[in-house]
Amino acid sequence: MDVNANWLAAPIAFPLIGAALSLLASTRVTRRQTRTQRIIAALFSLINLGVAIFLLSVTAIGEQRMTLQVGLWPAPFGITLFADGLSAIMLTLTALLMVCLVFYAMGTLDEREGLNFYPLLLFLLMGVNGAFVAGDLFNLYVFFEVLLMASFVLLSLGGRPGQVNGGLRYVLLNLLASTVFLATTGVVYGVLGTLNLAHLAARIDAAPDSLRVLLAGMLLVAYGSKAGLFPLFFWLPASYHTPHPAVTAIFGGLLTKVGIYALFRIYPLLFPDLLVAWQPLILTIAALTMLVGVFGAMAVNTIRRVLSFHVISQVGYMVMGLGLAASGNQLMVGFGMAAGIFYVVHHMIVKTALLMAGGAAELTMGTGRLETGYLGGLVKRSPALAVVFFLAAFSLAGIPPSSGFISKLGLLQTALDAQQWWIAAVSLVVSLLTLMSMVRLWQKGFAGPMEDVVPPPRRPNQRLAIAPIAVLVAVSLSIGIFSGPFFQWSRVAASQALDRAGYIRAVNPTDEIAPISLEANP
Amino acid sequence: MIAIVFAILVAVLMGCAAYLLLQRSPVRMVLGLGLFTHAVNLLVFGTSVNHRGQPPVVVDKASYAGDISQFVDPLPQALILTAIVISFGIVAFIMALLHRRHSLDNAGDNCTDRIDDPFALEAPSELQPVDEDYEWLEDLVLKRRLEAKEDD
Repeated sequence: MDVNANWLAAPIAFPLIGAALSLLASTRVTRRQTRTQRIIAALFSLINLGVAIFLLSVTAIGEQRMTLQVGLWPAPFGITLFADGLSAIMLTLTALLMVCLVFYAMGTLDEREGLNFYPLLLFLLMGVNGAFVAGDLFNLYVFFEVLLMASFVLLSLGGRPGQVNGGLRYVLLNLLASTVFLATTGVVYGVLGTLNLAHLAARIDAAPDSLRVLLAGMLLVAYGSKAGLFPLFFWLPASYHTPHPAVTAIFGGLLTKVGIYALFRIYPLLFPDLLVAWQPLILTIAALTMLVGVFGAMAVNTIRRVLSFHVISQVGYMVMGLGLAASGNQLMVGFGMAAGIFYVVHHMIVKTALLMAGGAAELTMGTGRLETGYLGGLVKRSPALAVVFFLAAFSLAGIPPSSGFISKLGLLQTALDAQQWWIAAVSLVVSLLTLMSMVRLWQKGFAGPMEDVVPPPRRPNQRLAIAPIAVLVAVSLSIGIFSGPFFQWSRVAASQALDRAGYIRAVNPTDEIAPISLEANP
Repeated sequence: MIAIVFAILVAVLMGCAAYLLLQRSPVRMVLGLGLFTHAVNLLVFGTSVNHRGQPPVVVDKASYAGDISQFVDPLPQALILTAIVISFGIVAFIMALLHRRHSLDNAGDNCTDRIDDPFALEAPSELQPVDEDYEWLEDLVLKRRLEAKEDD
């Protein structure tokens, strides 16, 4: 299938156009302005979903790679946009979450909706999409910053006391991580003389070992703190419970996974041998992340804090997949990575659904505290919400036939094949503790006796709030039941991500300065 | 030679930044963050000054037959320009957040003096649990004690 490579710019261009258009509508704060912005956000997130599915069909299903040399500059000199199965899977998930979130936000947002919420959401979408298709290190940094900038504003939108404090922590620690990333970029350019990922992959084997260890370590710190890995996760539980639930939902589902994507992309491409040599380190980090996250979730006592800690614990599973990409002394082609990617797919969908449901519960009752006298009796008060929460929670815990079961099974099987017994044991224990935590949420928040709390005057629009959660839960269930094709796409994505030579061939970096002709690049 | 000067400069700036970032006062943290981003910008800039060279400008394109290896690499400067804009924007945003926090404090919405707040002006005199998180535990302990008394 011959595809016009310009489609690769669409996931960046459409959200940008949407954001600009909806900003045009924000001349004054009226109800009509909000309605225009709603329509634009819904329209452009749907367009974005269409584009993402198209790219998925080309790359993951058609097993191709797509490269766009912007402005026809040959590879290391211009900006390269690149998509393979991994990028396309992430793009599609992001687009799906964004569509659901836009409708959820319409149903639940308070007066903060009028503060240009939708343009910010589209800017966030643009940054995340850009990070997924960036073909060089510096553009990856820039798109990280774009999405961070939008997320800073979304987090502190409204400026309530809790938000301001949470926002400060989030901004400070994330800016530090980005600056470490920038420093790495500088060192890479100073030593290797290029920033294009394919060009780097071709050149990095010539670099001395000490330097490669330094670069890999710095990138692990930078991406690890974005992803919320142990011991760099402190900003996440300190800030994620403060903004409006809709914002928490999209952050929990999306932002840490950009860090995970960067790890999945950069490590197999630039440091495949370190992936083998550092396997014990990566698996230890994964195990500690899982354990700390799940224990943290037991110690805190509001519904969104519990779910924020579970974000950390689940990130551990994905890194476990990355660690299991190596087996013995060589890179296994795909299965560990495939299990990791499949876990990301499952997690992004289920986590967002859970955070949305938890947020809706909080908004319905006016409180998120899991104690007698606060949250409780939601089964009677809002049965539909209870049903979707129940399904999402048990998918997170890994009960069949949900997607959580299949993805955990994949990881476990890989761990046993690689004879890493201890990580398999840790993942099982954490899985059990997750189930306990979900049962606790269910009993305290939903099943318990109906509390005579006076609900807040402004309750969420039940239909608009619950329908997106139901869609996500349905997707999760269908991934669990019809897991064959989804796992196949993850395998394609993993084998593409692990295939360095294929990546270099697809981008084809040149050392000569010669403009490529129009015929050569249709 | 100049590379060593740059390395020392970056190291000194990073050290100062680390010291300031570990302070409790939010203004010092912002200053530390500013220094840190500047240090990294210098680090990136340092990659282009390893050797003395000419500015990469060709006036007469048609007749130029010179040696382009004498040119200084202009790319790091473009990278820094982008990085400066980004870090400047974010530092400005942090200042706005701090201002907002200050005005909230003045209005009585006290959001600073909790134990889990890294920006509280003074360290708490003794460790006290955050109410929101551990109240349930205290209630439980209290209930147990009452029950124990009733049993006596």
